[in-house]
Amino acid sequence: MKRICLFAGFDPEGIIDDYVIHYLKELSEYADIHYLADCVIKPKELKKIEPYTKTAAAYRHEKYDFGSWSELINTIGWAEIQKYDELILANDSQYLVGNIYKFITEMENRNLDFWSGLAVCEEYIGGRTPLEQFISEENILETDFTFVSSFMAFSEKLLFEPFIQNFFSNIVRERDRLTVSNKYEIGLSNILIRHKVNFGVFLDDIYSQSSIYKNTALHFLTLGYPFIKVKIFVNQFYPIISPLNRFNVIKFYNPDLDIGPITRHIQRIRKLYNHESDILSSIKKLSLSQIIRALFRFIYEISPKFLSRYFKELIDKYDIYNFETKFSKSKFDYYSKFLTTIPKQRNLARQLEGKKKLIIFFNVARDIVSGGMLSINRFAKKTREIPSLSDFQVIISGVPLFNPPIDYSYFEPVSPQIKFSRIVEHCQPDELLIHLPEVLARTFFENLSEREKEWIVKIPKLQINILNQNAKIMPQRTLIRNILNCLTENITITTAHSTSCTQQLSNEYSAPVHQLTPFLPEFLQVDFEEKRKVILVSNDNKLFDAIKVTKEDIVTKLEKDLPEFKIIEIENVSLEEYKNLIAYSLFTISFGEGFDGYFLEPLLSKSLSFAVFNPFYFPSEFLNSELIYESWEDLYNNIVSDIKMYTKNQETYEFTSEKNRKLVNKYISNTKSLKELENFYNKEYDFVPRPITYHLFDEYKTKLQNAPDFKFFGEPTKDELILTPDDKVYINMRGDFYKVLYEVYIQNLYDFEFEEDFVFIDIGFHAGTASLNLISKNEHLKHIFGFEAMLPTYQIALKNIKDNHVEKT
Amino acid sequence: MSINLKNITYDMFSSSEMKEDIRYIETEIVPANTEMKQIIENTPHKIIVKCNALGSDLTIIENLDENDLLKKIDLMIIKSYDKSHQQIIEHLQLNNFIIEDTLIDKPNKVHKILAKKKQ
Repeated sequence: MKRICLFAGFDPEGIIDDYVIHYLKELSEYADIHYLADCVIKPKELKKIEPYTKTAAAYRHEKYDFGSWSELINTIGWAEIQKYDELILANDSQYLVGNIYKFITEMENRNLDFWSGLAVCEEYIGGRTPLEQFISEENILETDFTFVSSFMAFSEKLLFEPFIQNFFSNIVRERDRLTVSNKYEIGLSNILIRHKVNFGVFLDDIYSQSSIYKNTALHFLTLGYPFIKVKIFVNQFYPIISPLNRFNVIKFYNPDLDIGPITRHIQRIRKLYNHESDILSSIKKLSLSQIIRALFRFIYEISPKFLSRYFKELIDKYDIYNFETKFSKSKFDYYSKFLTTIPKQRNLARQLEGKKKLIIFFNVARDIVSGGMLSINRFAKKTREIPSLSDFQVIISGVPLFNPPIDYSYFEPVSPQIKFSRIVEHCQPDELLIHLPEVLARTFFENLSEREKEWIVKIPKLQINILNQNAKIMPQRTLIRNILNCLTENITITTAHSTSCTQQLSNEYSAPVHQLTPFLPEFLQVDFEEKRKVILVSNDNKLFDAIKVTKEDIVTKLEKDLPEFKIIEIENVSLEEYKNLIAYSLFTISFGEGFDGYFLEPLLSKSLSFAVFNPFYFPSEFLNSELIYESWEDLYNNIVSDIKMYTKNQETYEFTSEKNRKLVNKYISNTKSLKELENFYNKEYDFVPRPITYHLFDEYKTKLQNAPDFKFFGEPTKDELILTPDDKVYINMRGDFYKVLYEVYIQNLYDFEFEEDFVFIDIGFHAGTASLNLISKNEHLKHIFGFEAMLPTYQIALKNIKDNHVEKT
Repeated sequence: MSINLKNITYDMFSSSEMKEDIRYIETEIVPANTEMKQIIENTPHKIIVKCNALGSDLTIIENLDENDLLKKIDLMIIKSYDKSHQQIIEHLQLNNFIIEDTLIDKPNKVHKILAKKKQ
């Protein structure tokens, strides 16, 4: 097989290291190599690899590895590349420590159109799962699934595909490495999957994204994978066995390997890392950090078994602190706050002395910003203004509890955070209501000291309210009922989205559930003439239910077709900056759930925003809005013409903004939020738990199975098909679907006798089971008119009609 | 008119979602008569109505009654919930229906009402 390899290099000192030479030498046995580094390298250095490369160049283009490959493609030309049987894209981010011949030939024998060393996905949480199974079970286009880009191969067939050529011709300079990874590494993987390319990986299982930087990477060597990432030897974060042991593992699997080039490279870049660090203190901390960690680990290793778990906890705690420093300006800033905030904290806590009624809002004790954090801040502010709570002290504290109190940079907190341990020290209330963000509820409990637990359980009137601001990160029932329950039985849940506020949630958690719609801040009102030709896009990347179109496709189209507009992604901005942005920009596009701040808030600033209808979040009234598209394809096809139309026509722009603003105000308003908040404190909850019988639903399946002529195909948790006695076929909708079938077929709930011609009006058409069953039962039936209010159910009903070959008019 | 989901039991939720991941879908329905009037008045055939509307049954029946459509229906099968079922029966009886009322789900107080127009 004739191969061409485009090899991307980078070295901060402009050196072509021995390990790169070794790699290129080995690889040159199998491919014609063209080398390009994204840095300046002197000709003398480039000469080192001359024997192994067809061309070698180096210049700073700042587009990382994908940029080097793109530049090389431009230089060489597709026509030349297409003369080869296979194109390999590789880089120098890994050491070649194994047998590359076996690696390449094994993949050659599999006749794939695309292959790489391995595939990773951070959302994959463990267990050994074959890639094929993982792909069949997940909608991988909605995950961070990616083929690791450090070694990829494309068959000749793919080299002629326009989508591949377009992908590489659109690589531009990005602001950071993460964007490159999201846009190009994950982007390329998505494109390959969307185009149903025949792909494969050397390691057939799926692994987590970080696996290539952890002990798993050493395990890969045992499976014949020939590479190991350079970062493994310099990274401080991931837990990994000691450097000496790492080399032992490598040598075990490749005894002939000369590890000299690797050790020399590591020594050089470690030294370089220290030189490049601009804060001297951080070097000291880093060294200290290494020493402490090594000491803990050493003690852990030698300690007797009964003591080792305590040392393990110490090591874990140390790792946690290191992790938390990421959210501070610097490690120094983080650690110094433990000391510098003491006087202020003492003063704040002293003010609580003797107080008997407290409401504590726990917010995230990290200097970041999110919609949820802003909501908590506003809930605290509004709670203080409720007259009936005037005898309560409303205070803010932070979770994780072990963090120092935070002065937020991105928004103005309603009051300074008081560390929970200080509160515990200075008062013993009779009544306490704790508001806890869902995402940190477990952490809150786990971090409580014995003294704090004792303090809490001593409080006669205690209530813990879980702020469910995002259903996806709501902790499991076990946390609420088996863990927080240790503190109090009195647990409630408030939901930010009305779609989450259900009887079912209340039943599931055995807790009252109440809707608390977030309060909105005051938005700037900026007139059309003052707005700028800017299109803001939300920083969501996973488009709900998108099949053919990606966010990147849409943004690229906007950039191409609306060159007079500036496209800005909303990221890392303070609340005030955000309010300015949405007010002064003509348009905003929400790529998230749609019925969110990015859609709603620009309208409140007299701007226009666009989104795609998502039946799980949007009230159905929004289906009629001009600003809501039916699908991402619909948005892709129409967004440019719509933006042009609104830009040209000020009157239409203002009319549409006002019309949709009124619609938004119907569902979200501070008056509504305040009423909900007052009701919550008056304990007038939307839902209280009711007895339910989950097990009944499975019992209905047993009943159906015992009845004649029911057949079940597949797993109930997946797409189970059910064949009914009248030869109708249904996909199991889950929930109480077995019960519905039982009612229709066994209980004959909708049976009747009628001897004249009739039309059947089915209100609550559901999946259509009653109507479809009636067709085979009564010859006098002339027409059926079905009404189904729930959009997702309606869509399933349509499918059932189609699948059962019933004529629909 | 919107469906009031607050007062209905879990059992009444549509099974359109997985039970472990049920979601609250806000939806709107138009008054029953706006759609039904056209159907009822334009067919030469008899009218049979099945109604299982997650607790909005009474609202629908009331609306049909107010718009003189209830009397044009020949047979109704209604799955009614909790407190509303007695009022539904009263409406139907006033409109000349013979009622067959069966309690089909005792814990959740769900009734099947079979209503046939008197000849």
